[in-house]
Amino acid sequence: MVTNNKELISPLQFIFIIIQTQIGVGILSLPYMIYESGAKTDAWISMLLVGGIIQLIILLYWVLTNWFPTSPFYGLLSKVYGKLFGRALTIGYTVYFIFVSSLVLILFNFVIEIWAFPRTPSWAFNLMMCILAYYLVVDKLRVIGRFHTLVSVLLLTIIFLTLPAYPYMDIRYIMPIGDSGILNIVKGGKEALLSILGFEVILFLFPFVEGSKKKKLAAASIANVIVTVFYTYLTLICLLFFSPEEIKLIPEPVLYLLKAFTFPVLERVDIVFLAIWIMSVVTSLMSYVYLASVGLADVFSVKHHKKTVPFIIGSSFVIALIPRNSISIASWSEIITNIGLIFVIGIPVLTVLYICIFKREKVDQDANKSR
Amino acid sequence: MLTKVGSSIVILLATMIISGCWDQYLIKDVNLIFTAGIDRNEEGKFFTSVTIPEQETNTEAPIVRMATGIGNTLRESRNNIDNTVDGILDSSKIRVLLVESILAEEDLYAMLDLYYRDPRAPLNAKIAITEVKAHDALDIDIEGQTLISDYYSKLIEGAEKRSIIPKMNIQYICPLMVDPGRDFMLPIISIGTSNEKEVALISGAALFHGKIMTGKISTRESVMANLLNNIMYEDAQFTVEIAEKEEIMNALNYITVQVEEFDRMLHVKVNKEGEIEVDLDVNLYFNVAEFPPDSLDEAKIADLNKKITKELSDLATTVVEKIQAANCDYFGVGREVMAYHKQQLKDRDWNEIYPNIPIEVTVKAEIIQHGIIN
Repeated sequence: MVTNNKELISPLQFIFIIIQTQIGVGILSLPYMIYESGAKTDAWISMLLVGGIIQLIILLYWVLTNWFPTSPFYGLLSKVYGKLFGRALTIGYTVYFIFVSSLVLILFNFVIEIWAFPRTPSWAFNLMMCILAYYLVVDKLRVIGRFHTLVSVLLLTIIFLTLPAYPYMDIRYIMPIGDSGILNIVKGGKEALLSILGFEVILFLFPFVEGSKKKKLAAASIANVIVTVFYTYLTLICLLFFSPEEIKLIPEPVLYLLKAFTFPVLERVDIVFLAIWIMSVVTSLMSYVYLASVGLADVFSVKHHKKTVPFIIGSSFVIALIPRNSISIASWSEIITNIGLIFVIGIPVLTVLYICIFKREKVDQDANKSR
Repeated sequence: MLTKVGSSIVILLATMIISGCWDQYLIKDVNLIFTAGIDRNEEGKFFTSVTIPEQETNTEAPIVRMATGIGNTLRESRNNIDNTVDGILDSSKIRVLLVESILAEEDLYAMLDLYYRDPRAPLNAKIAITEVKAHDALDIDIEGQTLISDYYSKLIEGAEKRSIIPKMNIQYICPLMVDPGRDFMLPIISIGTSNEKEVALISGAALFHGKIMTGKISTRESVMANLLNNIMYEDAQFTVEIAEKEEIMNALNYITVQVEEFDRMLHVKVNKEGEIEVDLDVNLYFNVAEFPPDSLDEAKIADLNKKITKELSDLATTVVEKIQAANCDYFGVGREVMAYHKQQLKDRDWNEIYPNIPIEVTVKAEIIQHGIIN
């Protein structure tokens, strides 16, 4: 039943695909976003909270895919809801992922333009990113997994680059802990959730991972822990380095923090960071393009997703050229990520409920058959 | 799979894009500014002076050129300077920024906004407040020192090493400017004479309240202020009067001691009524750097310890008074209160409370070393 990708990925590759999909454009402005949404100096608690919520969602995904151990999520939708409605949902997911891919490109361009290359037109960067993404996504899932694993080393350098900030941190900035109140922390949590969307890749990749059910769950959980710790770390660093009043002024605190330091030879650490960050962006882009092209392949019953990749990349490229100023970019980003919540949490939750209520027996049969 | 033609097209395209033709920034086209000074002219506009070293390849010493411009904003004044020089001005290598004190007394942040906004800005540049016009401070001719930027950055670094001023740059003061619970100091530069020639000198430290300069203290006082704020870099020295009976040779009335080690404790106590009390204790352990009367025995040291403690306690008390009078929360008492006693602070405005809270300063001095003679 695994139709187009006979090859499986190892649990380790699975972990790194998840990490690299989640860590992407959002990382630069995450502390600012959570802070501004009301969580203030308790932004880091919001982040931890979100890590917990995502763990629950992962469990839900796991339960859902275990009922259909061999069919990928798109196929699962048709099985549960019937051909017509299932296909409509698949189209919905595909369109969503196309928009997310273009959003990645848009946000990437926005940052790279104000921070490093003010005069280079955005299509040039988009084209470069798209060529790169195309080159990898047309290959098998295992190749994508290998690439994501390889570039994950770079995440360690991000941690190293934050080390010079330590002497200038002040623990008192985040005191008293919990001052913003539970409501605001939860509000911040929603913002944090939007910034680290990308864990939906778990839902789609579960059937393609080698090993037992438990191993798969463990791998997804490890990835979640790593991402949560990584993001909480960056949030904390920024909260401790910038005074609470200052963060309000700085939309990309992670970059701004690095800008304050110079090393001999290395004058602008933020540029070095951007170069590393580009890899994180490309990997996110690849994952989304992959998900979208698999969806499109499913809709048109194409055997291999490589034939649909050009269409996905092409449309993301064109869409990414539309928004022009920071306000329209912000509203795009808000709309797309909010719709994302429906696809990432809403539909899977509804599906689980639907199966529990109406289709329980049929599902059990199906699961037994495939065993 | 791509054909050979296809792949060569991709490679060609890639090289065209990757070479970054749009954003190349050649050093030969730009005039790097190394120091900038900001003054106010009679009309209230900004009067900016910049020094630009000319990169002549054949000459041994670089020629430094100075250019000035006037504008309503700093950018405008910069653009006006740009009209007078060949090439493009580039401020990403500024090392020292001098600001005239009357401008700092109004709003320092207004002059730094452009640096915070620009990704290429030199956030690690030093800032100093000048008592004279910043233009005059940049215009002095220092013997043997062709690069005025080098001169000023080394002057400030020297003062930092001797713990006269805290290590600050454009970035580090930003959180402090906007933080209601902490304030900072910057060096004050004035012009004096040395060997009958004009030189610049660090004449003290400017106290800030938020974004505004509200007072100043002398270099001797600022060393104490730094110790009270738990800051000492490479060296910190005090010269203390210890005369019992006036000696004719003046030097015999004094001792110069060097801080070897120190401990500082800041205790902020808030009672239920919300009354705040601060205990600031500092124990200083000294090395005797100069003491012409010599013969330091145990009794003598005990006596000296007492005298130094007395003198430095007085000094510390004056420093704290001056700092409080300037409403400069240099020791971060406000941060401490906000972090650990937020309940008791309620909705009162910290800025109004701070100048009147009692700060109890206790200094203990002890000589632990006396060089290689007694």
